[in-house]
Parts: sequence; C-alpha cells; structure tokens
Amino acid sequence: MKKIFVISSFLLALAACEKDFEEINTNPNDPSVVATADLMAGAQRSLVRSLFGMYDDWGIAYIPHVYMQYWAATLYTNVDRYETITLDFTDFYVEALNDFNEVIELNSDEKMMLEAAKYGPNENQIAVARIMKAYTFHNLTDIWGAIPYSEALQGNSDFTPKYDDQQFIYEALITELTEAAAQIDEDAGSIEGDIIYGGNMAAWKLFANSLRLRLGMRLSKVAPDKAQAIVAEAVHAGVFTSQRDNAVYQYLASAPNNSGWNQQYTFGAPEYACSEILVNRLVELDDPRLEAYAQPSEATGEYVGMIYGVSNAEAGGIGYSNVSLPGVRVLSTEEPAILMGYSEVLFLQAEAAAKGWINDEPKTLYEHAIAASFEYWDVSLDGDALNSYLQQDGVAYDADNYEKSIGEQAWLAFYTQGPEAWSSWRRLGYPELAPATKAVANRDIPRRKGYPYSEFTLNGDNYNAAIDTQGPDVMETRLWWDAEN
Amino acid sequence: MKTTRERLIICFVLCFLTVAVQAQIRAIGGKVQDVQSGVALPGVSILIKGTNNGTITDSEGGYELRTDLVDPTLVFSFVGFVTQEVSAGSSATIDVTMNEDSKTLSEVVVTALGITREQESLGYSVQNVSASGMEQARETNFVNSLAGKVAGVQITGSAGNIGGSSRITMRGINSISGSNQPLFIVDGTPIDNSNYNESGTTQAQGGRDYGNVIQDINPDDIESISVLKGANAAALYGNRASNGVILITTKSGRGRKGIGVSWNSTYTFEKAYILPDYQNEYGGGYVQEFATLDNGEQVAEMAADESWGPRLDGQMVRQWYSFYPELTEYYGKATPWVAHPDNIKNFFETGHTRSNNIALEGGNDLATFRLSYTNVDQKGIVPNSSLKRNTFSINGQVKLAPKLTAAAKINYVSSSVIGRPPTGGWNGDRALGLAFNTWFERQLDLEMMKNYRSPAGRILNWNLSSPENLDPYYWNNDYFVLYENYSADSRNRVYGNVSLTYDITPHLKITGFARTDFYDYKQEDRLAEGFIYQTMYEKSLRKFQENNFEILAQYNRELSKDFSLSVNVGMNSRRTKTDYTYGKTQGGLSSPNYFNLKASTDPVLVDDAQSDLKVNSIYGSASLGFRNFLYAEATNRADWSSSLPLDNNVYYFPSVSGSFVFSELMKSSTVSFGKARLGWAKTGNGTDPYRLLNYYEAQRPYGSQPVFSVPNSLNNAKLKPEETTSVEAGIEAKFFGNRVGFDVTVYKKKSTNQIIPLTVSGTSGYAEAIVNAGELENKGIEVSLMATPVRTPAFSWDIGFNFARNRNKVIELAAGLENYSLGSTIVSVNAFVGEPYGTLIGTGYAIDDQGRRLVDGDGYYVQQTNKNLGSILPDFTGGITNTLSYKGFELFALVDFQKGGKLFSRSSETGVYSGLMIETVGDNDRGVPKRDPVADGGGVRATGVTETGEENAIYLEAPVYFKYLTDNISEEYVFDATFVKFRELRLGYTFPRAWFRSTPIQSIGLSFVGRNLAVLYKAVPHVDPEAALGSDNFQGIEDSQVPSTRSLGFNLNVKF
Repeated sequence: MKKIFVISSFLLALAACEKDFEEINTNPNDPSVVATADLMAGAQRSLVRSLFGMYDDWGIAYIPHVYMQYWAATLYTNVDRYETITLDFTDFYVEALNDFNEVIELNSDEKMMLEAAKYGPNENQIAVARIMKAYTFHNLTDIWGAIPYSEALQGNSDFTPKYDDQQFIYEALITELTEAAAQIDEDAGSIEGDIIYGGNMAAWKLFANSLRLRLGMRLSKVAPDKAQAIVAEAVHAGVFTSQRDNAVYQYLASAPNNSGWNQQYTFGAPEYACSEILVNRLVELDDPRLEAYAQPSEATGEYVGMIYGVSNAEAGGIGYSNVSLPGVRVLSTEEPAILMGYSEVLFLQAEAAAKGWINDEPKTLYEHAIAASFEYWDVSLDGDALNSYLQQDGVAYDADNYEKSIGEQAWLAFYTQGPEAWSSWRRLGYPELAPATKAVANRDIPRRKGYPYSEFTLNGDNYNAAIDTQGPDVMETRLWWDAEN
Repeated sequence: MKTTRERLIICFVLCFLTVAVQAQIRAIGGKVQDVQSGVALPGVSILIKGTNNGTITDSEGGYELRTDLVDPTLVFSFVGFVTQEVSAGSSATIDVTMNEDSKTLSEVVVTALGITREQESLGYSVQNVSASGMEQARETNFVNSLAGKVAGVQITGSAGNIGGSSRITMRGINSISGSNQPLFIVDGTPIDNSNYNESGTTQAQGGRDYGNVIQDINPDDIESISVLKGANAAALYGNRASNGVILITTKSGRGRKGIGVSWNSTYTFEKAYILPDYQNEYGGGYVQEFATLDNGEQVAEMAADESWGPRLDGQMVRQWYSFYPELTEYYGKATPWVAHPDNIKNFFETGHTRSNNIALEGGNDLATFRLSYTNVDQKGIVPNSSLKRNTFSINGQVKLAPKLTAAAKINYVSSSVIGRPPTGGWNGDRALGLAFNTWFERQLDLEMMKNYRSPAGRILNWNLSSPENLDPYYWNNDYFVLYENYSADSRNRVYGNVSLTYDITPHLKITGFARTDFYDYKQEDRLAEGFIYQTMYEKSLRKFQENNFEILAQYNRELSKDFSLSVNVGMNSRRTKTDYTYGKTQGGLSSPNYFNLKASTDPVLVDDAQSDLKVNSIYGSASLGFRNFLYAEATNRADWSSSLPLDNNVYYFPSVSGSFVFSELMKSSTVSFGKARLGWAKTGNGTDPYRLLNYYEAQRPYGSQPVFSVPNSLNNAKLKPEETTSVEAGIEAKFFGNRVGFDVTVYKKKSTNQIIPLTVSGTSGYAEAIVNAGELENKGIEVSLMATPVRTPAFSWDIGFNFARNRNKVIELAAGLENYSLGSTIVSVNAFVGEPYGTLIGTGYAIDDQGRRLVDGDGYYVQQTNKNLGSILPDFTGGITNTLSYKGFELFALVDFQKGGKLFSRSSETGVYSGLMIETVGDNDRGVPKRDPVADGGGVRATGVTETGEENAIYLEAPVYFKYLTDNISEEYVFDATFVKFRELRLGYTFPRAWFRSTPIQSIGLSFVGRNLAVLYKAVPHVDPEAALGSDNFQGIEDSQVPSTRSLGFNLNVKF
C-alpha cells in the first residue's frame, strides 16, 4: 500500500505538469492581428458578393432583377413566378457588416488605432466603413423592411437584436451619411484596401452625398417635407458629376474575384435569358443599349426575348438557344458591379427638380441621365440620333407625368442593378409591369421579401414583434416608404 | 520507436527458433459420453493443455489426437458441461464421461484499462461480443458487424458505399454538437475514428462518402470486443468517455509446440438489393407530346432530366443516340420509344470481396508471438469502384528476466480506394452522377452508354442541350463520370504499443506503455475534360498522430479469507497532432486531363491547418470484494487539457458502483445465478484546440491585396469540457442450470456544459458562438434475454434477444435560445428544447381542427411552415440471434430491428418531382390515368377539405400536383424509418478430424455466409431506411443513396 501511495504521488506530480500548454494551444492557422486594409478589402468584396454575386455565387440582386422582368428563366421559372417567399439576409451581417464594424472598432480602440493608422487616417477609414455600412443597411431595409439595425452586430452581448422599423433606420442612415461625409479629411491622406475608390477620399464624400440623395428621394411619398430638405442638402453638398465618380466594384479576371454572373454563364446551362418585355421595349425604341444588354439568339441571330412568367414546361420547351442571352459585356469576367451610377444621380435630380426641390431644369437632367446611361454602356449616340431617340413617343419628357417618364427610363438604365430598379419601380409605379402569367398562387409582383427561416427560430420574439408592426411576412406587404398613394 | 524495433527483432528470432524441435509423435484416442445418459457426446473440444493442439469429437463421440508430449494433460470442454482435465500419462486411450454443469462458469470480461475481471464482480454492465463471426461474415467496415448484437448500441451503416461510413451511438445522444461516437481502444491504445467526408456528404448536399477511419481495424486480428456502454464502465477514460468505449483485444500467440498456421479465406458477392420502385410508363420530357424536327420527325426532349414525357408506347422517335454521326447504326434514325425497366438494376454490377488472412503463431515458456497478414480486395457495385487493404500485425511478448516482461503489439494497415461513388441529388462543382432517383429519364437504356466514347473519342451524352447542340445540359453520361471523374484515396497507418512490465511483488506490478496511432491520408478528386463543369483537380493530405505514454501500477491481494482488494493507479500523457494541406485547381486545368495542382490556370485554392492537443491524466480505481458476493468499486480520473483556459483546465471524473450476487445467499436450485448492481459516474467530452481566443480568417486575395475577415464563429475564453453524469442499475439472473437468463439495465444520464457552436441570429454579426450551455437527458432500458431451449449432446439451440429503448430530450440550450440547428437541406434537423434530439422541421400539411388536410380554392394543399415532423431517433432497437449446433454444423442467424425514427427521403421527394417514381403513374380516383389531362378525367385531386369544410373537388394536372407537393409539403417525404432486417446468416461445418488425420491439418471449417440478406419490413418506400450521412450528427436524411447491397459467399478456415 505504501508503494502505491508513493507511486500515486509521483504520477500526480507528473500529470499536473502543464508548462507547454499555452504554446500547444497557440493557433498556427489564423492570425490574431491583421491590417485594417485587408479587412476593408474583404468587407467590400463580401458585400458585393452577397449583393451582386461573385465567382460561384449569384448574390441576391438577380432576384429583383428577374422581378423587374429584365430576365426570364430558360427552364426553372420559380423566381419569375414568385415561388419562394423568404430570402436570407444573414450573410450581410456576418460577413460585410461585421468586417466594416471591425474596421471601425480597430480604428477607434485606443490600443489598436495606432497600428490601424498605418493603412490610412483613422477618421477616414472609419468614415468609409460607415458609408459602406449605410449603403448595406439601406439595401437590406429596401428588401425586407424592418431589420435588426440599432442592436445588430453586437456579438455575444446580444444574440437576439430587435428589429427597427424602416422609418427609424432611414433617419439613422441619413444621419450616418451626413456625419461620415463630414468626418472625411481629404488632406489627411487616403486609405488602403479600398477596392471601390482606391482610397480617394474626395470620391467617398461624393458617394456619401449621392447616397443621401438616393435615400432622401426614397422618402418622397411618405415624408415629402423631410425628403425635400435631405435632397436639397445632399445636392448642395455635392454629388456625382461624371462617370468618373461612379461607385463601382471592379471584378478581376480570375476566380474567385470574377463576376458571379460570369461564372454562372460560363459553366452550366444558361438559366436566364433577356425577357421579351425588355427586348421588345428596346427594339420598339430603337434603343442602342439593346446590343449591350442582350445577345442575338444563338439559333436565329435575331434579338428574341424569352417569354416571362410561364411554367417550367413552357419555358423548357423553348430552349435557351432560341432566345437572347444577356449581353457579352454583362457576362464578362471583369464587368464591374454598379453600387451607384452617375445616370441614377441625374434621374434623381431630374425628379427633385420636377418637384421643385432643387432649382434646375428637370427635362435637361432627365435627358442627361439617359445619355449618361448610353455613355456607361459605350453606346452613345451622336447629336441627331440622340435627339431623335429623346424626342420619340415614350421617351420624350412628360412634365405632366414625370413619374412615368423617369420611371420608364430609369428602368432601362437600371439594367443589372436589380435592387435599385425594384425600389424605383415600387416608388414611382413605372414602368407598368404585369405580374407573371403563371404566378404561384396568383401572386402579384413582390414588394418585399420574407425574412429568413432562421430568424423565426433564432430570433423569434423580435421577428414576431416586427411582423406585428409591419404586417404579415409575405411579399405583398408594402414597406414604409412604399405606402400606397 | 527504437524499442519497438528491438522487440520485433526478438519476436522474429524466437519464431524461427521454435520450429526446430521435433520429438516422437504418438496418438491418443478415446470416446466421450454423458455421465448420466451414457449417450456419446459429439462436438466436445479436446485440447492438449498449454498448446493449441486440439480436436473435437465426431458423431460417435470419438476422437484422436497426436502429440509428442510425454505426459500431456487433455482438457475436455463442452457447452453446458463441466470442463475436465485428464492426465494422459503414456496411455493411448482415454475415455471420459462428462457431467452437466449446473453452476455458472464465471464469465471473464475485459474492462477499462484492459483489466480482465469476473463479470459477477462488476457493478455495471459490460457486454462481450464474439469476434468469431466477424472474420467469416465480413464487413469492410467492421463496425457494421456489431449491428443488432449489443443492447443499446445503434449502428447505422451506408452499405452501398464501398468502404463507407458507419455511425455508432450508445445509449442515445450525449453531445448536442460534439462527437457522439464512442472511443475505440485496441489493446489499450486509443484509435482515431475521424471521418473525412466532404461537407457536402455530411450535409446531405451530395458528395462522396470516404468512411470513418476505424474501419482500418482488421476483423481477422480481433480476439474479443468488449462494449463499455455506460459511464461507470468507461469512467476511467475520463474526458472522452461520455459516448462509451469499445475495447478491442487482438489475438496473441499461445504457448505451443511448433508453429501454428491458420488460413482464413472469405469470398463474397455483393448485389444491389434495395432499388426504388420506378415507373416504366412514361419517358423523359416535360410534356407528353414530342417536339418535331424541321423534317417533321418526332424528337425526344433530351435536355429534360425528368420523366413527365410521352407514354412509352413504342412510337418511333429520334433519341439521343441518333444525333451522333459517328454512331452510324443509329444516326438519323428514329427508334421505338419503349421502357427499359431494368436499366438501373443492370447498371449496378455484381461486387465481390475477397479476403485472405494468414497467421502464424507460436511460443514457449518465455515468449509468444503471432504474426498475421490480411489482404482484402473489394470491387464495388458501382462501376470503377474498388478497395484494397493490406494489414500486417505482429504481437509478441517475451520474459526478459523472471520479473520483467516486454511486449509489443504493432499493426500496419495500408488501404486504397478508387472511385467512391458520387452520392446525392446534386453537388456543386464536384463529380455528380447516379442521379437515377432524382434527375433522370426513365426510358434511357444505360447499356447504350456503356461505351461512353464514340469511335471518334467524343463523349456520348444522353442529356443533350438540343438536337443541334450536343453539349450535355445538366448531366453527363454516368459511365464517363465514373471512369474519368473518379476519386482516389489511400491511407497508411500504424498503431500499437510497446510495454514493459515489472512484477515488484507477487501482488504488485507496474507497467509502462508507449502507444501510438498515426497515419497519413491522401484524397484526390478530379473532373475531366468533357464534364459539364470546369476541369478540376484537388488533393488533400492529412497527417494524424496520437501518442500516449502511460504508467500503470496494479495491486491485487486477498486481504483475508473474506476480503479481496484490487487497486490500479495510472498516469497518462496524450498528445494529438493533426496536419492538413489542401489544394484545388482554379479556373480549369491548363492542359486537358493533366491532373496535378500545377495544372491550375488561376492560383490554386489552398488550405493549411494544424492542431495540437495535450492532455495529462492521472487515474485510479479500487475495488473491494467480500466473500464473492458483495463488491464495491470506486474510480477517479483527473484530466488536464491544453485546449481549456489555463486557470481552469483540470476536470475530475469519478465513479462508484457496487454489486450484490444474491444467488450466493439463496442456494436455490432454480436460480443458478443472480446479481443486482448499482452505479453512479461522471464522464466528459473534451474540447477542440484553439476555441478560446478570436482570430482572423485568411481569405483568398483580391489580386495582390490580401484579404482577411472576422470569422463567422465567435470563440469563448471560458470553455469547459462537457460532462455527463449517469446513474445505472441492473439485475441479471440465470435459471434452470443456465438454460434461461436475463440481464436488465436501466439508466439515466444528464449531459451538461454542452459545448455548442450555437447557431445564433446572423444579425448579431456571427453565425455561431461557442458556448458552454445546455443540457441533454437520456434515459433508457436495456434488456438481454438468453435461452437454450434444446441442449442435447448432439444438438443445441441458443437464442439471444436484446432490446433497448432510449428516451432523449433536449432540456435546455443557451439562455433565450430554443433551437440548435444541426443542418438543413429541404428539411432541417434540430435540437429543440423540450423535444428529442434530431427533430425534423419542414413544411407540412396544414390541417383543420378535425385533423383533415386543408386545400385552398385552387385545389392545392395549404402549407404549414416550420412544422415539427418528428425526431430521427428511434423508439427502440434490438436484435435476435439463433445459434443451432448439430454435430459439426453450426447455424447462426441474426435479425435486427429498429422501431421508429424519422427519415426524410430525397429519392422520394425529387424522384416524384421528376416523375421517376411509381406513385406518379397509375389511375386516379376516377379510374383514369393520373397523367391524362384533367379535361379528359385525368389529374390528381388533393384529398382534403377547403376552409369551409367541403371535400376538395379540384383535379390538378399530375406534374402540377406532384411538383407542388414536393416543393411545398416536405412532410409527405418524411417517413418512419422502422425496419426489420435479416442481417446475418452463417452456416458452418467443421470437418471431422478423422478425414485428414494423416495430414498436418488440424482443423477445417467451411461456412456459407451472408450479410444483409433481406429487409423483412420497412416503411420507407424506394430506399434503405439505414442511410448514414457519414458519422456526424446531421442524420435522418436519405440523400439519393447508392443502393444497399446484399452479400453472400463462403468462408474457409484451415488450421495447421
């Protein structure tokens, strides 16, 4: 027994030895300190990937793109027929938003900010991250309505953030954008890791103001007074004045940085063709963007639109080789994603001028907006041709129904920018689109998307509170700024 | 490893030395009878004591043995009779009469730390599994051989996947997100059982099943398996004992004269035996009319991968093969549109498994050894799939000095598999195929595709984009997929231990062990030119090593006439390291079919991950016995783990148990043995390294700009190991001279401190957070019954029955959280508070208050989202064995069963969507074919009521009805996974020794063996209810499985 005791004591001493534990549990796979520039680049890329798609990812923008009837499915017409109600937004929070947040935190934390400043002035990095966050959140609320905002992104201190209503979010975002623009110190220097503007702080200021213009105009139906003030201030502060100012994300030639649409069309059967609504309209107007937006059909060499909103069987019976696929440039590896373009800024100003909110000539702005769109797609018309395009029926600016003129032309200009096209249509009511003929359960064109299933199970109380206020979690429920007239 | 090598050399030398001696040989013979009836006893085994030399009596009770020993002792043993030892002296004839045994032979079992104990002294349940059947009726993954044999152990295999996964759980589920697989210990060495399946496979998104690596253990080398189901039995293994332990003891050499040689050979054939009921009335297409070519000829809808097309009525139509100019026989010709009912059945080949083991053994007073080589060669039922495995093992022991013994047990396994079948309905950018249950055209004749390249070398595909465009639309020719887009994986593994034992006193010995288990594992996959996706090559290399150094002191003493004491104290230091390197080409291969990472057009996608873990432990046990009827035992273990916070990294795992052999006091003639037992224990489930701090995650760069991101998972600096506390009580008894017996165990377990990568609302910025929270409860009952209805000298019949019922409940998750999702496909698998683990949630039928299904005004079922569709855990499981022995014959049959448990079947769901399955054809309730237009009386009517309570009267076109159903009502495809399977059959014959008396052969056994012979009952249509998705926790989904196989063959066992 004594021996046993001696042996036990000896073993105990051996076992409790833990000198090397810390070293053993040091992670060799992932770093604990990284450059804020690398986080910024990653966050911008994540946002673009989640929204517009990248590499093997469709993103979500194609869904409103299909709702807006630019495209029609060649076989599985589920999206065209509004089959799925829900859409997931969690990627945006977990990836882009959390990384933008991390950039802000590293640039604000007393211990970390000096290290962070190696990649640009702290204030400028923070400002860019704030603008990008505002851009992301407005896209989310435009799709879902009420979403977690004020309590979101707090990690383990709040796993069940409440949903803020859209009005609250819009007001907060406009403040964010105003503050962020003011925070920018152009003289202090540029920032690194900025894919969108290459660290050009003046450009970021213009983007913040232009976004403020966009957001302000969103409120035109529900809060015209506020909208007027915001729009006027934004324009006064300075918005995009040329294509050079465009907020675009440049894709690269090779995976995983190539465009998602490129990837989808390069491998596997083409799932979407240009719809006959789009193709017919472009043909009718003799619109030069036709050749940029669509390809002639493989079988006939003619521009033929795909019938929209029909059953799988009907669509499958046509065959993608008989219809016009999206344009070669649209599907190319490096074709940038447009976060916000000059043409849009002109359309917004045209509308503001028409309302008398800014002192300018609406018709001129409207025509410049169209020309800017042509310019973007490299199909500019010379003077006479442009004039005859602009003066034809269906294009000529109609001061009595400027919503129709602007709505229809904005729709033609917003090709590839699904979410913005959808918002514009919901707010202006133009162009007039008919619901899919074989819409599931005779649904109307969606006005929002349903919340992801995961929120029902993981954040149920707040989810329920949100739909109690906002209305049923279906696609017909109108958002706050989309109030019925 | 130097010591290992030296030990091995000694063993080899010894094995050659022992061959040399040859003395004079003489024969001993005689007859064996029952002492009471005087009837001759056939089948009695006779062994010359201390040797392996033995025989059995023939039908007349006669026997003959040859020996060179001067005064051999013969040991006569027979089931149900008292074993006798007879000293033969120089006699040539020894006749013996045997007595029936009324007292139990105390069964000896292997318990934790490899300590053998008498079963009656244990205060907890330990079950032994005979290994003899496993080497005859073989499974490539030996874990499958345990199915149905042990109460409370649930095995879920994936029979159709060559070398595929087998999931094993004991007494329910103890961990919400961690491993629920038991710890495997071979000769005291922990053996890794990782599963390196692709995430697609484990998440039911399609992929290949690479199997769990415990299948490296070779059944031919197993002596016995001891299953430690409960916490008490396993408590000495501390922080990884929560899920139970499977202790395997390998065969070792025995003292004998000369070298014993045995040859065990098995040859089995495998056939796909559970195939879906496909419809054979309609062919491929979306509509029932053919399209026409410009010349007016009818043309099949080749781009469709569904079977809603025209009726298979023999019309002449241009089919896929008529568009290839090089197929001159068919080019431009219309052929009849007819069914090929056996197209899938004939696609699957007859597989075979050939296994050969040769073992040499020998020994003397000083040393013993066993050397074994096994070769397994398997060809799967899927074309171009094969498995090869070679196992070498050496097991030796030598007395270096009177008190010093050295031993080594080393195994080397080398295995390689080509062409693991791609499973699942769809799988990203990987090889996909075998979509016969999901996306297919029923009329296709796969025989036509066998020569998958035309004479000109072009790949022939059926799923043509259009008559003008011969590129495949969604699917390639399956033969092309299997022969040119195959996986290859290979593993080299060494495991075993060396030890040195010193007998300090007759009562105290101390042993030092050095143990290791290490392997390297390579997986490769490829997509060839011509595949519908970009060409690709990927390769992963994994290294795993676990070393354990252990010192164990064992003390055994009779303290007095009444008391006996046994004390064990040990210390162990474990180090587990893994290393993973992965590369995948991007942007296609630079040169067609140049399968190498250097062929990547764009920068290679890489991954590189290592892990390191150290656990120091000290443990001890003490057991006290009183007069052979009262026993008490206490154990404790402390584990210090490097993966836990430094200031809080030690955890204790104690246990206490006791047993009372009440039959000792009863002295009843009816009750031959009776014992009651009770135990309490705490066990743990460890944590992975690097889960304490937060790190950044490297992403692929944007051009030259590096990219990092905050990970999606939030770590936790205060992590604790999971703990399971368990109470178990049992009673076992045998009656009427051991002819009938039972063993009942009840237990209740509570698993707390669950380490949960808790899925949280992504709006928090994280998709999951590692938390220590939650509680799981398992309670259950296990029953084993045994009976010997007939026991005569010539004939005996033994029945074994086992049954287990486990009730699992998720008591609590983290604060404020009601659900933890284990994963989802069309349905999600969840841990919901208040529900059993593995609750399926999906869309279901909305019902009214009378339970009737609701149908909307357009004739569609009303959908209820987030419906609870039941748990994947079964209500109960069990098995029945029958063993019949008649003279040299032995018949063994095993039937096992599972009641309940839910299974979502993608084969049913997608197979119906695509119009492949039988339920999409036939007549509707109006007596008109369902697929006829509604206008002509066809279509299908949803059976339910409208909101106003009226019976729905609207008929929908068949594809509309079924597609709506599959897209919106997943409940329809959730089935009861109950099954009864005829799992195993062995009919063996041991040839009489007399037949080969003059040869060196000592025994010959020949068996007919069968595994998975028949499904006697199942409720899931089309597929096998056993459908493991690897061995992770996400289960309950059948993902368009490869059909299960029936295996039949022969086993020959010859001993020299």
